[in-house]
Amino acid sequence: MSAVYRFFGLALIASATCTPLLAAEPDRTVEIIVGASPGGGFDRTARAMERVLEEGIVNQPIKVTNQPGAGGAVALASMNRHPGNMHYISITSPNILTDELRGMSPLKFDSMTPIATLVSEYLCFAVSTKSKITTAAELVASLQNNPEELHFGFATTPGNHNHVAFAQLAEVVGFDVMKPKTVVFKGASEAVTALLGQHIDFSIAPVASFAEYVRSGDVRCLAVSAPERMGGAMAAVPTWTEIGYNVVYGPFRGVIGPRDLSADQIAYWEESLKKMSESDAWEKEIVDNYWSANFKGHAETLKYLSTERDVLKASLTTLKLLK
Amino acid sequence: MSTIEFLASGIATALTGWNFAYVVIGAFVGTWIGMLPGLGPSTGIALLLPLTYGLDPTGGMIMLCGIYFGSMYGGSISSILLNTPGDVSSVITMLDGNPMAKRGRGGAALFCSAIASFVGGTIGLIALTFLAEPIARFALRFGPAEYFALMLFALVATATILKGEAVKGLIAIMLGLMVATVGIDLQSGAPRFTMGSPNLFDGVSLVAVIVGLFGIAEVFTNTGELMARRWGKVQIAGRLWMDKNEWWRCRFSFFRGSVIGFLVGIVPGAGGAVATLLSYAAEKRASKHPEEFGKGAIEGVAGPEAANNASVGGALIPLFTLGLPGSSATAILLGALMVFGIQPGPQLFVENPDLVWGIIGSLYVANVILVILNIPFIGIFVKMLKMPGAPLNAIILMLTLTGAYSLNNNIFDVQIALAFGMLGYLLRKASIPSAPLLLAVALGGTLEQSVRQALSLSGGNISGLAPSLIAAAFLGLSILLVLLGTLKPVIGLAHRIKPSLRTSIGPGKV
Repeated sequence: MSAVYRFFGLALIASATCTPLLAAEPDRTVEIIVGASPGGGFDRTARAMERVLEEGIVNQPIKVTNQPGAGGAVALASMNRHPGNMHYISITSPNILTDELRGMSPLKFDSMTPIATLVSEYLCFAVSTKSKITTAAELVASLQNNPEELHFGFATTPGNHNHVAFAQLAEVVGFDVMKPKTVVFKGASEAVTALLGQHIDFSIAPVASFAEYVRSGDVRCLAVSAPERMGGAMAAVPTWTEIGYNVVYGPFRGVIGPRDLSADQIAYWEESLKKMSESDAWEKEIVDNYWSANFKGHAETLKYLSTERDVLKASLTTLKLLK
Repeated sequence: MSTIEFLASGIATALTGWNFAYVVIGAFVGTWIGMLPGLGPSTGIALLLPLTYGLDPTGGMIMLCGIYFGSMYGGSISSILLNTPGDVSSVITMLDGNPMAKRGRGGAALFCSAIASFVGGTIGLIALTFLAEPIARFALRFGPAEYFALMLFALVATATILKGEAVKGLIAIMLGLMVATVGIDLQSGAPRFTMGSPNLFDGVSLVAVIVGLFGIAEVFTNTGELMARRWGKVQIAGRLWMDKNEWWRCRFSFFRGSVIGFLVGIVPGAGGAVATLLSYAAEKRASKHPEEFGKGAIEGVAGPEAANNASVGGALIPLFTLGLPGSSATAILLGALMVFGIQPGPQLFVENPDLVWGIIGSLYVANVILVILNIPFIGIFVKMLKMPGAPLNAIILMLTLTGAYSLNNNIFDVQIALAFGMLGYLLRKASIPSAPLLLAVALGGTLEQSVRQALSLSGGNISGLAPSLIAAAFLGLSILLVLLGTLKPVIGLAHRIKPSLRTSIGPGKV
């Protein structure tokens, strides 16, 4: 018996010396638990990851499981039931921070292992092309002079990225964020319907939600919250910074693992995701979805999350969603 | 190219090589998925979407469309035979389809639903083909106030499906509206009745409510019958398919249902549930024997089934012309388009005509295939009714719980389904109908949020509820329906009191 053990022991040492790449590596199927239904935003990110990672970056099969609910919190909770297990990862966004700050969810980033940030989605401030408002300056003037007459609608929940971007404009410009008549829609397409039908005056949403309507001439994007001009259908749209207001905000999409991942396990994923984000296939996903590449590794992501928490805290207070 | 040429090339695409195989596979798999309790078109497409990820966009979308129509057929089969609807839009089919099955006319109900689905589906598609461009922008007229008015009208129409004591129906509706308030409130972001559980943040899963109230409650009831040795096997009465009288009774229902279904389908977000409900109400009003509704009136199957499938054609109009989904099922199709790398929007028809017309063509093909696939199976499906009670119960229970789990991969939904199963059983014992409860759960969320959105936009001014002719018309119709409903008994009462007044205070005594 002991001879057998010794043999395996030797074999292990041998294999370890032969592949000195990384100490931790998945040895069976990796599961990406997605907190959205098939076809939703998180799902598309995960499927894109699956495609790119399986092409020689991760040597094990990858499986995407959909577990929608509570803006992703249900999926994260279920991932977190596998502490220290690198075979479970998930996609995340600032929603979790918002829930944490508002005390809605027991789940915190600190109780999981943020691995990397992949992309940012910048936001578009949009009106119908039939609207009287045709420039960002006119929108700002209305917000300052007659905010009660403006109807503002967005999806999907109060205090989310769209709402936060609005609060940040209010902080910079100095208007009362509570004055415009504000409605929340269940989904991005309901908000677009209301905007096209002129039931609301303006809306804020990730660029991808409006790009097709900008191309068709139904929607006018007044400004984007990106640090620099975007491409494609958005090439003609100024950034808020260009206009003179420092509003740069884009919710991130990142990858997160369960709690208690070892340094080696984190390093493995960090390395793999970095390779993924440098691939051509990923580049195409970024262009197709109007994302902006924004890769950050583990340490940087942690730093980023704590600044993001402060930003959100300030904006949620402006929106009177936090005391 | 003219519309006809586009359509011909679309049908040709759908009939070519692998695409044809995808339609057939989709229709077949969709039917079987749809038969599972709680799994209807939207859940069926969502579950099977990942299967198509490897296909090319046209092939993948064609398969999904097969699944779409297939699961609608399948949903009515379980409604009729097992008293367990696949989704909210086949609840109405159950109201008369299941009593028909219990009377031995299950074959006729299935045949009628197949024909109605075919007629409705085809009329909806023809309307989609020729009317998509002219009415593309109609959907945009629906803002929060219009939604509220439409949902209110639908809820008032729910009263027409009530039989027996109206109070019990109202109790069911109120319970449903209460369940609909669970979850994070859209306007304020505050959690309501979630008991601190993130599982309830998105509200109670509709699928869990459906399988609980119907599937599991049915198992409990059946078990009671079995234990009391009252379990009777159903014998097929008369012809397996529809007889002459049945054809004659629903000859107009197919077309009425199709028109109503298509029109409701155009409105984004209204979907099949409202279409079937309004069609049922229309059938009951048009019928010479409204008292038979709820006890197995074949028009109650024909109209709503036609409406349900015709609404697909309507719902695809805002999807194809504006990139806006008209129902939960088309919302998943929209997601699927994006997965295939196509950005749906107002340019879709212009920039991807081959894809769009391929999808439309495949729907025509799927519709025909489903009739051919399903009618020969009716004889086999009906044999399900002859199954001994104990194994049938076990099968229903397994399928319902699987259905509840599979959508969100969350055991919490199974627990909710079991809780609603017990509630459903108690409601049956108290003869409180479950269908209005479910409809109220399904409509309640939009009803509440849209009234609040409308009032927010008007700054709290009540006039904000009727800013347009559409909203005013639906509000007016709702008020009219309520008045008709309440005045009738009052007038009846007055008639009954009068003679007694005459006898007690007769002329002789004065």
